[in-house]
Amino acid sequence: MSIVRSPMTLVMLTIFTVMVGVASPYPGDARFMPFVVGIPAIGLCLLQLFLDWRAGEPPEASDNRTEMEKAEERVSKMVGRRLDFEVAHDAPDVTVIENSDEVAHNREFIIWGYVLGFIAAILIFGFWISIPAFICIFLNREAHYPPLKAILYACIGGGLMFAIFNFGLKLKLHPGFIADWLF
Amino acid sequence: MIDVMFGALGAMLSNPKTMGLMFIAVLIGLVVGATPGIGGRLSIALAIPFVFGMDMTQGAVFLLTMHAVNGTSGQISSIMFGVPGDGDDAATTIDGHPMAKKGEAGRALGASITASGVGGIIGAIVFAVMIPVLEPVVLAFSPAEFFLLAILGITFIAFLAGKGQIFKGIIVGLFGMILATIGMDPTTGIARFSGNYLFLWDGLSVVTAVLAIFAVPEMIALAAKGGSISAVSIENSSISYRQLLGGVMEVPRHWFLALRTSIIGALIGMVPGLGGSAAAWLCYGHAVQTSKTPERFGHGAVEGVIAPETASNAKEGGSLLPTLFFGIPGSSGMAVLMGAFLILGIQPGPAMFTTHLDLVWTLIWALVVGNLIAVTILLFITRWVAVLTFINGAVLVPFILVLVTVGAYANEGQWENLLILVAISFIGWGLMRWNWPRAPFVIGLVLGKIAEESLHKALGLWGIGFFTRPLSLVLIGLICATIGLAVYTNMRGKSIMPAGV
Amino acid sequence: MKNWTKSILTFAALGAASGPALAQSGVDFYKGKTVTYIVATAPGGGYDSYGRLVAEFMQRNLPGSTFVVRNMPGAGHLIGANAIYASKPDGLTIGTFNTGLIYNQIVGQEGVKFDLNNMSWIGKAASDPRVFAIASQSPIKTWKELIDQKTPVNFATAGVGSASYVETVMLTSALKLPIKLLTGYNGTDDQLAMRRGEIVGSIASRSSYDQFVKNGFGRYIVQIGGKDTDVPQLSSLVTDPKGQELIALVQSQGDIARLTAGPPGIPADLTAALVGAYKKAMEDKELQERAEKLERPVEPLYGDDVLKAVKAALNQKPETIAILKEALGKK
Repeated sequence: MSIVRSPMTLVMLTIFTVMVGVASPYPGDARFMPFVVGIPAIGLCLLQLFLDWRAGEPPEASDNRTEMEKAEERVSKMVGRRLDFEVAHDAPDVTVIENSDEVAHNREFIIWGYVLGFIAAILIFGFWISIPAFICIFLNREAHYPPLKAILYACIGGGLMFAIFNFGLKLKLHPGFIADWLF
Repeated sequence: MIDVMFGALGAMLSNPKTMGLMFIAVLIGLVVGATPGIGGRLSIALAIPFVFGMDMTQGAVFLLTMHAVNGTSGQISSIMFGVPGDGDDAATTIDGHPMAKKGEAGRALGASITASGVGGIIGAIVFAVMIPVLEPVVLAFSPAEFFLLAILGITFIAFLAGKGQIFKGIIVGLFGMILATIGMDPTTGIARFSGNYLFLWDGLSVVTAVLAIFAVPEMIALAAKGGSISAVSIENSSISYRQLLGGVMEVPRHWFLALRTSIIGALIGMVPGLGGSAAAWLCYGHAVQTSKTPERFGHGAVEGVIAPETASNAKEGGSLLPTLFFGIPGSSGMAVLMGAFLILGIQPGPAMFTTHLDLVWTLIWALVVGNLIAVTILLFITRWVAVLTFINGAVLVPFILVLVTVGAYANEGQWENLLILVAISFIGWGLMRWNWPRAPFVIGLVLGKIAEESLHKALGLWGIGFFTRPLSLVLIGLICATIGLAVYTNMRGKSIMPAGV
Repeated sequence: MKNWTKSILTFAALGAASGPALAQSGVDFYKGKTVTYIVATAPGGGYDSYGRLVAEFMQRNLPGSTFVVRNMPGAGHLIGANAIYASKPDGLTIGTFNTGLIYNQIVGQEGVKFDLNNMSWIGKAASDPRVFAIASQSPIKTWKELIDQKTPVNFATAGVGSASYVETVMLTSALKLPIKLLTGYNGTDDQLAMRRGEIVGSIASRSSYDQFVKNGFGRYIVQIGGKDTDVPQLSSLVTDPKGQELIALVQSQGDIARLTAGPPGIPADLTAALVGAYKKAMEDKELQERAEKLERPVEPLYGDDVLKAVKAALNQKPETIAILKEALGKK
């Protein structure tokens, strides 16, 4: 079903429908803006769903071709025959290895795991524990830093934040729920 | 008049204590401004106790410089990492970050820093020029005009969507607008979409929303893809003073645009009530609209960096005017500043311009000189800062995420904002992954709030007839013209490019 | 609002002194301790500046202590006030919030998680009377001219549910004033609207309008509370007893300005120490000078005196409560 190809349209449609629904019992003045914004948005989402369905193949989710490659294709279409730009196909010097799009898309879920874990840690244990822990673990596992180096960087990073926020700005950061539970 | 003007400048430059204070203020302002989520208000509020004993002029110069420079350094993280410091910076991120991804971080930074400096200086000039005509201009803008200006800004959304994406762009913009309705409705006192969640009563934190829509998805993508922020390796680009200078020279190359957006920014700043990032976004939209090749925007057009930066800095100079002249602050930062001025013994009001003209000029010069100092410092350190875009992303990402989470929290001190951060990041990630535009979201969020509040006030004052005020009619004309132009360009664009490109 | 220093100290103290009771005098307790002073607004602005001033001088007068200001903005001071109320009554957390929350408590608004009757009251620093400010372009120069208006004049208030809205609605309905309310004017929006001629007047705190009036942009026609003698008192111009009651309620608001309070149940000796430090702070010439520069001269009340005033304000007749509820849009 090609509608599955446009999940964002569905997400948006759901959000607007829910918000308009929640706003319905509000008195006239309060629900005016949510209606004026939400109802046309629902209409546009449905329109977009229809367009997505009609378009068939979705456009490239991310176009990672170089400018030269794209230009090559454009000019080829204009001229009517396949051209070959040498500049487009020379491999540029790559000093850092990148993943292909497919691998990257899947890895994003792993990275989400890190982010959610970090936030959960902040909420429970507070910033001062989570910050060094997160930096250390991430550097070790993703940047492949040896453990000592990772810990060192984590301490530097955590220390700097501590210095700026505690002494410089005198801003208190969330100490974590555990502080409430234990004390 | 002339002798007062230059007399004030001379007095300021020749006083080592004043210059010393200004230098320190610039440094503090830059550091605070560079951190996402930490607002300038806090640094000024913290500085107030020190100000109590200071000499009136020196204290004012110190605080004003610190405030003016706050907005200048946020662009560093916006361009380099796609992490905007606040709503203003989000506009710079749209084109600034893609430039960094192409290995042009140095050029982008050179352009944006110079643009800030130029904007700040032109803002100060506009201030000076407008002094005689200020009163009628400021008073001409009523809630009716605010509403229409907000709508005008919103219509720019139509330009920001890519080809064939105009509906997606509008949907995202409307999403921003409906999120702006979250919170206590000023008309009825009903807490919309927030029930018993007190932390939502004042609405979504814009800083959290901006960080969530732009920064977090970019970091996730970077970490997943591997490599560095710049897709181009360090050997193939040139991080050198040459690239930096190339960026700096972009501003004179686009001098007319920079001049226009600075003036627009300053004028917007002069009218209290339009709110912070409106200037940056309106001018970004203006740049898109007046460009002959609008499809470059969103992918690294240097004008998309110059326009918002000049505007947001010029706005500071402009907002000084109603603050000093009426005692009515032009922005929330100005409100804090004004409190500090009162402590120093400065009495804002029309009398300032007759009896204390030298002080007014000193403040104007402080803006100019402060901006120059800030720009010089930034340009020097940028060369080293830009190198970060070539470092392995996996090393940068954890540090940036730390800054993002701290920023989202520190903004209001509510841990619940971290949950909001996660929720909106999810949506931002989805938008990025399926290639939906994200810029319209911030426009909708910021301008939507202004639009609703102004609409309500305008209806209260004049009923539905508020459309017929002369200035309103002009704005309505502009809005129709904008929409017409947008539809025309989009239709035209659709038919030239073959499908799928 | 814990912090790690305090927890470590507690452990150490419990371990080392598990024997006799920790019967120190209140003041000694604060040596080496950190007190968190919560301000229910964002940095900058009246409450924050005043709060930082009070915190600084209390620290000077409580030897060995460190006062740290913490901003907890949101929901019209409710978040900060709730936080103060919910904090541990160990004498290490106090703070300030808008006196207008008295209205919120009277009507039982949702989101109110405190009871002002029970809080440990340290003191209040100033009096900030309410005034009727009229734009200079308007021909209205006296109270009589206002009530004699044939058509309602535009008055600005902040958002629905705010203290300014409540007071304006209450006074307008009780005194039958020819006023049309326009809401949504926050901060200094109303002053700008007056300059533009859209708004004729506003009921506001005197400290927020003094500069405006000094500049010749507006004038005061009547005042509620306060010791200033340049403007007539509304209570002397109104004879209706119901009106008088409401005026007294509004006056109590203005009288208890810039308060400092802590959560219920702070041990008596610690409260005494805090009140003592507060008193010394208020009597400090330097603080008085700074306060006057900030906005209003110091007019302090301490400890139980404040509690009495607050209790009196909270104790309203059912009819008044009904009017308040209606003003806040509740049934």
